[in-house]
Amino acid sequence: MYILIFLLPAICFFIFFMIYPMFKNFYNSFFYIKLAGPNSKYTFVGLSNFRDVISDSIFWKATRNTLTWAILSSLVEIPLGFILAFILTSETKGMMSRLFRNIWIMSVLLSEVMVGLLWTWVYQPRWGLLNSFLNIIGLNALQQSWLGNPSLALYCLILTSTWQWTGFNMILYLTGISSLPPEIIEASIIDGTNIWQRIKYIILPLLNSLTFTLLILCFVGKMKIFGLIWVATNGGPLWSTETVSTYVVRRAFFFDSFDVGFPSAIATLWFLVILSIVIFFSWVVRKKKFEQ
Amino acid sequence: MKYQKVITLFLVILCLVVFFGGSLYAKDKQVTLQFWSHWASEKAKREFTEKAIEAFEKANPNIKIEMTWYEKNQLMQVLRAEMSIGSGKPDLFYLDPKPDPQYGGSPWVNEGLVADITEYLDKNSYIGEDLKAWTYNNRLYGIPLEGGLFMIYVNKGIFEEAGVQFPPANGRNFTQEEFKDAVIKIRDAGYVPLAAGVMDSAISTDCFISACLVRELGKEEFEGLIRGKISWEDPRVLSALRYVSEITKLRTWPDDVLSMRFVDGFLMFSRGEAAMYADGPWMFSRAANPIEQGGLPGDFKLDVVDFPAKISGEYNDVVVKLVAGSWVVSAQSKHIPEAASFLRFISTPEWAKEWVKTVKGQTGIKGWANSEEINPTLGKAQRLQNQGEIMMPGLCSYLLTGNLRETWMETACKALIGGQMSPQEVIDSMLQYAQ
Repeated sequence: MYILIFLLPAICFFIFFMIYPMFKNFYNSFFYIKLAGPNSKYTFVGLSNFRDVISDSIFWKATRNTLTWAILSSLVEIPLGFILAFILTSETKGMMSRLFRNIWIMSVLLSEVMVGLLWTWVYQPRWGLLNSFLNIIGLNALQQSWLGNPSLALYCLILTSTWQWTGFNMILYLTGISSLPPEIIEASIIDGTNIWQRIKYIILPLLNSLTFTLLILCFVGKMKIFGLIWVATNGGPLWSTETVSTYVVRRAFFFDSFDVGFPSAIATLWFLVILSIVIFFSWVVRKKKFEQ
Repeated sequence: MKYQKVITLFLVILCLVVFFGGSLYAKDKQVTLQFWSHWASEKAKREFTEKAIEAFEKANPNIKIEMTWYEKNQLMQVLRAEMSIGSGKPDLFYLDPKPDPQYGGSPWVNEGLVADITEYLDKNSYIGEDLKAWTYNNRLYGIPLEGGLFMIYVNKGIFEEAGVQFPPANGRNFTQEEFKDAVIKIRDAGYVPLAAGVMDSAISTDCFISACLVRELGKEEFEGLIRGKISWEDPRVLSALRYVSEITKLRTWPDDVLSMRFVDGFLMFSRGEAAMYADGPWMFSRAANPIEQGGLPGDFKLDVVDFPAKISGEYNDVVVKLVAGSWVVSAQSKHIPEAASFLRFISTPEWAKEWVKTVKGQTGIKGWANSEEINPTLGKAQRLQNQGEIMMPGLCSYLLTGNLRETWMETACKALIGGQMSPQEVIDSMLQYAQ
């Protein structure tokens, strides 16, 4: 009973701020809603909102952008985190190792808004760090409006989020590598393996679970990305950086309509997509563990 | 002795009851209105509002107004959240009258979130054209506080330096070809010809492009385009967008216009980096801010011109006017008569003159005549308005709705002027959502 009493505040918080909004959103997505306090009107429309979402070209643009972000980030952040962690454990010792570790982890401590503002200045075409650097090294031809170019803006923001989150992966890999049984590594050295063979056949297989966990965290995290885009580009130019999260907010608060049924349908659809991906990943992990 | 104590205690209790009971009674009679408005960063408008509130409270001691200032985007989000839960707050708030009632009307009015205040106001207190922005089926839903022309504001100093003749030969506007020549000369002199920033709001490019459409189509056919009676494939639409594309290639806009915010465009103009800036009537009040808040320095040579004229065009005298910042009463307010009484209080010639004097902009409230003595540039703007054929409102972003509006803002007002899309691509995008 005492356990229940101590858990009660957390349970209440979870129910009121996570479970209830989730189900309410799911419920709202089947209605055409005009939220107006005591005069709110709910008109049941069945699957009509979902049909409208699926036929909305901007939703598909946002979906493509979000999936591109999630896939590219996972492919870059995780290997980069591993490489940094490996270098720190093998090539640098003591104070140098601590210094580099602290430098890389600092970006993780910054909020998305701060990171967005910081990198907006880096990408600023007239006086930003990137164009100034290109000018210094004589590559003026490459200078451009990075966040104003629809072909480049998304990749610039992906680079920004990679800069922010690689440190997080590095720290977890550092812990993982440090906790590997040293006798296995020593035995492999005695057996005459080179560094690449050790990484490929011993270290990486032993860190499989950690890698899968980071993959899920990275992928799912990027499927919900919002703050960085809202501050840096607001979803533009030409919807090239619009993600599903920013599109939901735009439709809910900035359209000439008070209907929240449509944005609720987008949010519900996306929740189901993310849930499917998480279930798939979990199934893959369980299958691999079973095979082992 | 015992009786004295009882009487003393009784008197003390009586005093307490009278004091607190009286306070409570007085509190019941005291009405406190919550007023949420845009213009948090505009000193002149805040000054006007606070002066008006002080005078109103003096004249109405039983009504107190609590003011909260926001920037527009934040205000709209907060209002939606507050009204969706029906908290009854705020009583008064800022609202733009868009879309115009003739084009579907504001969703805030259509959804019953704004109170009908017809019986509390005198329609004769307002300029007829301006009042239409808040008139739905002959009922009044707001007061047209801020209004005026969309114009091109000019830094005459840069024009002199670049060797561009100013004012234009007809005193009103450059021709489209003269405008191109001016752009080339200004760029050669090292300045940005026309400041703008479109990342968060593309209104300064929308007003220019909408004006180009008006020059081609005129009032009635522009309206036809918005209503879907004229196709976006009409050759005149293509002609207007082609002109915009041509001046884009001449680097009329800042090179990083797509990553600049709306306020960055204004700051570029106020800092003397750009020769021109296209904007609405709120420019004057922004210009009156202290320099450190983006206002114009005292020696800034400010002037105004109308948008470029089409050579041999029929519609070169059409001027785009707009009612912008307005105040309305919330339909969820528990004090609608009291809130409306504040709007009635400021709808007088005295307060209209006070607005023009303090804010240095126009208003839809009657009673101000000549703004020349307050600000010569404002007086010139007024003359442009009086000499032209007024079109209200003539801005696509104020008339289009839904996905069509979003597509217009992203394609024409951003991608086209950023050189990312051709005129035909803009038209093809609009056709996707056009009725």
